[in-house]
Amino acid sequence: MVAVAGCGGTRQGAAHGNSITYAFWGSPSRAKKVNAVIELFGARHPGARIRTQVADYSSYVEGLTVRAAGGGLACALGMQSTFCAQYAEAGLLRPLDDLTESGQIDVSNIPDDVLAAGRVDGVQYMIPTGTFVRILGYNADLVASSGATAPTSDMTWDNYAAFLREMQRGLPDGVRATEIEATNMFTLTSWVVGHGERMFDGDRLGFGKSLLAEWFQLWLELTSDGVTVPPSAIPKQTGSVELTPLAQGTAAIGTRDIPHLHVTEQVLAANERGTAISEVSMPSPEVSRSANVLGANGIAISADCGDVATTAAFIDFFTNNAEAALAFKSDNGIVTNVHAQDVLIGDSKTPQGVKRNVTTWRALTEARDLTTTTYPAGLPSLTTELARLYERVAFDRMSVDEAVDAFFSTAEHVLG
Amino acid sequence: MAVAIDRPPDAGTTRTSPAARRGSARHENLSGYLFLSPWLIGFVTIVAGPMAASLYFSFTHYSVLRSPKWTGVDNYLRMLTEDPRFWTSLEVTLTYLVTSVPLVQVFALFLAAILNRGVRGLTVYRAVFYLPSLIGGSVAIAILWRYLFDGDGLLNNMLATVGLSTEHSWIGSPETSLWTLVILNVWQFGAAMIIYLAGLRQIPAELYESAAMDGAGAARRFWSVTLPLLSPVIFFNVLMNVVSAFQAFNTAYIVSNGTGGPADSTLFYTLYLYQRGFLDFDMGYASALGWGLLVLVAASAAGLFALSRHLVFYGDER
Repeated sequence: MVAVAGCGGTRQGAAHGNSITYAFWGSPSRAKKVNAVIELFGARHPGARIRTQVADYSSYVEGLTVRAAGGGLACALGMQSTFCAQYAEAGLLRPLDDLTESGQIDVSNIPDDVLAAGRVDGVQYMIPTGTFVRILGYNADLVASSGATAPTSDMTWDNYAAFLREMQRGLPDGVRATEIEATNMFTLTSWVVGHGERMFDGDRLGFGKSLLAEWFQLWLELTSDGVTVPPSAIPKQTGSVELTPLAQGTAAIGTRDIPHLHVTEQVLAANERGTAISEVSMPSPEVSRSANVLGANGIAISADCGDVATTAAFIDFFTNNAEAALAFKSDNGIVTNVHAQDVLIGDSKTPQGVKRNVTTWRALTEARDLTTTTYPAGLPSLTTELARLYERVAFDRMSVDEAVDAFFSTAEHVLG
Repeated sequence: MAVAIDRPPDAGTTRTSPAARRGSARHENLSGYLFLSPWLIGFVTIVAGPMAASLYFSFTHYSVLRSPKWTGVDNYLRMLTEDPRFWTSLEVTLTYLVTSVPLVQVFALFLAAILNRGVRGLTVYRAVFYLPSLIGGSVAIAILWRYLFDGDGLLNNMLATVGLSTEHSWIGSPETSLWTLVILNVWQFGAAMIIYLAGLRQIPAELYESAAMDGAGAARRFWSVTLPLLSPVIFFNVLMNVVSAFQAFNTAYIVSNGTGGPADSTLFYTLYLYQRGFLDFDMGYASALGWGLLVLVAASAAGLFALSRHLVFYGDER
C-alpha cells in the first residue's frame, strides 16, 4: 500500500491525495503501453490515480520548459540524460538518493554504470528506465555484395575509413558507403571518448580544438572521396529513422542507437533493399577503450511534487515489476532492469526486435564495451550548433578552424 | 412662433428625469462593456499582457527555468553588433520578401485579369487557383515540397525525362533551397488573386470603352485605367503579403527540420527567434528579436503607407 504524503500542493503538477501526473514523450503506441502499465499499477495500488500528459519528443521538451516556467511540472517527469542537468541545476527536480537508499525505489537490478546516466554532480535525479547506445549498424547484403571484408568491433577510425573506401568501390551507383556523421553529437562523443578524452569536464568541453578539427577534416575527406552521401542529404539524416539513407538503402553503414537498428531493418526489408542490419562497436583508436557511449531515458520527480510517495511507488513499479516490463515492451530504450530484460527475452509475446535489442545490449554490457558520460545543461543547443557549423563547412561557407572556434565559443556560452 | 411637435399620446407622461437618464446611460455603458468584455479580457491576457511581459524580458537574461536578470539593452546590442545569425536571418527574410511578394502580385494579377475576361467555368478556375492558398502553408505541403525538390525528387525525375538529368538537391543545397520556398509562397497566389478579381470587377466598363475609342491599346488601357484604379487593392495585397512574409515560419521549419539549413539558407527571422527561445531557452534574447521584428514590420508598413500617398489612386481624389 502506498503511503501518502499529506502535503498536497496547489500547483498543477502537485498531487492531491493519491493522484499524480506522469508526463512523457512518445507516439500513441507508447501512450497505450504506458496506460497498460498504469492500469497494472492501479490494480496493485487501489486509490492511486495516475494521469498522463503525452507529446512528441520536441513538443514535450518545449512544453517541459514552459510548464517549469509556469510552475506546472507534473510529479513524474519523462527525462533524458541529455537534458536532465538543465532541470536539475535549476532546482526543478527532486534528488532521489533518499528514496533509493530507503528502498522506496529499488535500483538494485540496474547496473551502476546505467544509474550514473541519471546523476548530476553525483546526485541521482533520474531513474533510468531505458538506455540507448550508439553503435555501427551496417547493411549486411550491401557490404557482402561490395566485396569488402565485413567490419569488426575492434576497428580504429583509420581502419574504418579504409573499410569505407574499399567498400565504396564495390557499391552500386547511387549507394554511398556511409552517411555524414560529423553533424551527430553522439558520434562526436564516441570519437572524443575513443581518443581517451572527456566530452565534458563539468560545464566545459573536456577536449581540445584539434580533436574537433580532425573530426571535421575526416568527414570532409570522406565526402571528397565520394564515400559519404552528399552534404545536401544531411537534412535526411536528422529526420525520422525510417527516412535516413541507411534505412532507404542508399548508404551501407551508419551509427545508430541500438533500438533503431530493428526499425532500420524493417524499412530495408519492406523496400527490398537488404535483409539484415548487423552491428559492431564504434571505432576506437585503442581496442581496450570503448567508444560506445551510453545515454538513458528515465523518470524524475519534480521538486514541488506534492505526493512523492505515490510517485516513487509508480517509478519503482515501472522499473521493477515484471508485468509492467512485459506491458511496456522496452518501448523507450532498452529496459535497464536486468530481471526485466530476462522476462522480456523469455516471453514468447515479446517482439523479435525488442529481444534483439536486449540481446545486443547484453553482449555489450557483458563485454564491458560501454562508456558512460555525463551531459551538462545546454547540450541541446550545442548539438544543434554542431550540425549547423559542419553544414557551413561542408558547403564552403566557413573554414574548419572558424567552425571549431565558433563551436568552442558557443560551448562556453551555453554550457552550464 | 410655436412649433407644434407631434408626440405619441403618452409622451408627455413618460418624460424621464436627468438622474434617470444618467442612470440609463450608465446602464447602457455597462451593457456595452459587458458585451465588449470577452474581447477586452482576451486582448489583455492574450495580447497586451504577453507583449508587456516580452518587452520586459527583452531587457533581461531569461533562461525560462531561472528568474530573469535585468541586463538593460544588452540583448539589443548583442543582436545588432555580435550576432551574425541575426543578420543572416534578416538577409534571408528580406530576400524572401522582396522576391516572393512581387511575384505573388504579378501572378495573382495576371490570372485575375484573365479570369476577369469572362472565361467559361470561372468558378471552377477560381476554386482551383485558390486551393493552394488554403493548404499551401500546411505541414503536408511542406513535406511534399521536400519530395518535389530533393535530389531524387519529382522535379529531377521530370528533368531527366527531357534529357536534363541532374542529382542536384534543390532543397538540400544552400544556393537553391530558399528559392524553393519562394516558389511555394508564389504558388499560394490564390488569395491575392481573388481580391484582385473583386477589384477588377469594380472598374467601370465605360472607362475601358472610352479609352478604346480614344485609340488606347490593351497595354495602354492596363497602365492607364486598370493599374490606377486597382492601386488601392494592390496596396492592400502588398501590405498583407509583406507582413505575412516577415512572419513566414512553417514551411522553413518543416523543410529544414527546424534548423534553417542547409547552412542557414532558410533561416527565416521567426525561425531564428524560435530557435533562440525554445531550443536555446534564451528567452530574453528571443524577446528582443521579437521586438526587433515588430519594429521591422511597423517600419515597412509605415514606408508602404508613405509610398501609397504618391502611388495609390483613390477615386474621390482631386
